[in-house]
Amino acid sequence: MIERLESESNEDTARRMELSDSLKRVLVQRLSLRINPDQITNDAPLFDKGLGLDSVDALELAVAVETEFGVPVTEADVAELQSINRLADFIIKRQLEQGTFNA
Amino acid sequence: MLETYTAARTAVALIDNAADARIRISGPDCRRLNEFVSIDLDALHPFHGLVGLVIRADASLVAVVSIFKGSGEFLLFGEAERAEALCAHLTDCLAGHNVQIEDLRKTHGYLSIVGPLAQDVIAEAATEDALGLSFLSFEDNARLGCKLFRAGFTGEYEYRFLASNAEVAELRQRLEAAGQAAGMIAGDPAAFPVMLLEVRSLLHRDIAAGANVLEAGLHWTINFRKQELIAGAVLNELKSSVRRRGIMIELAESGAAQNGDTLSIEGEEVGVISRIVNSPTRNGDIGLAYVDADIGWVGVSFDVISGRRNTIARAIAAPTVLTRSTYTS
Repeated sequence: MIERLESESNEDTARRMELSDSLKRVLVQRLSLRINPDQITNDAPLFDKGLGLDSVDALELAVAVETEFGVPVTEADVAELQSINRLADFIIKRQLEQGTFNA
Repeated sequence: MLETYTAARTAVALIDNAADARIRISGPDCRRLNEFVSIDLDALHPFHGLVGLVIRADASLVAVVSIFKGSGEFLLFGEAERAEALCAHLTDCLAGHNVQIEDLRKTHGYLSIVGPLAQDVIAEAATEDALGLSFLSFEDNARLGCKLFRAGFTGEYEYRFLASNAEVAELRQRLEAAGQAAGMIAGDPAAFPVMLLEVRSLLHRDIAAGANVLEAGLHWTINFRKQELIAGAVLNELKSSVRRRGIMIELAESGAAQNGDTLSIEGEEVGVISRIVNSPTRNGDIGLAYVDADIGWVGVSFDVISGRRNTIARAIAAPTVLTRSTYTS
């Protein structure tokens, strides 16, 4: 039997779209990036070769995620935050655990 | 291939990248190269590099490359399959200018060590000072007798070595000796395509027929603020009219789907699979697909219509595997 990979609902997809757009705006504003948010694609690498963020930016990003989305980020979590999509996955997962995803 | 993959993801592997494209552009007019690439070479610091695109005036892709600025020269590296086309294109573009274009495949060997323990090997082979190299930078390393690059696109720590043919054999011996304590193996370059796709490091082959570099999500390789960006007007127009979006997918069943299979939702064709690989880390097939832009979002499921057997795919986030070398440059 083929295990069906459940699709997110249209509502969840809409929330993810909104979250992704917010993340891009937050990233550009909080890290003073000299690009437009729409130039950040959802799977673009944030660190090293992509946007070129470094470890200092990583800390700022962690603070921004906690402040803007109510999700605490530990040092161990930062390694997961490698793209907008990964960031969105992380925030959604934590918000679901906290019961705040639909807020 | 699996042995190399395992070593590169958990320890360290020594890879001979003999077939990879490597080109040196030097001479008084070598800065003219800036007119034909998507990044701003004038803004690049010496002994640093960037990932960029060599594109034509119509924004079609010649190759995805890493370009490093040396002293009076530029070094370009790219995938083996594009080596000839890249050389020919740059020769054509720079004709009439006072430059030398050298295909270093003929004169230089190109090795790399890749894996979580690569730094241990470098510290042993080239002294701990080499650990100070930041990502996408390089140095002339006297101890190793080569140009030493901190560069790699698999998500793992990686160092690359460009050495003359006369020196590469001795370099390899030094690296093998330095890698013994770490259990370094001589690896198979065939493992790289899987590792690259796992972290969505795209090659020319990954740009599906008819897709453009923005649909492939390569915005980050383009400096839109660069003055006189080649194909700038075309790229800016494409930016606002993306019809398809490149997404990473996971397949419900390994071995069911293949390159070129159609993706559909409720019977309506919405995309195509560009490439599928089996990911040992994820224990299943993953791939790159191009789908209608308005549904190219993580979490969306697709029916895969395959010549082998139909299956299901779901869009997932990249990188699809997490590694330890993130943001530690």
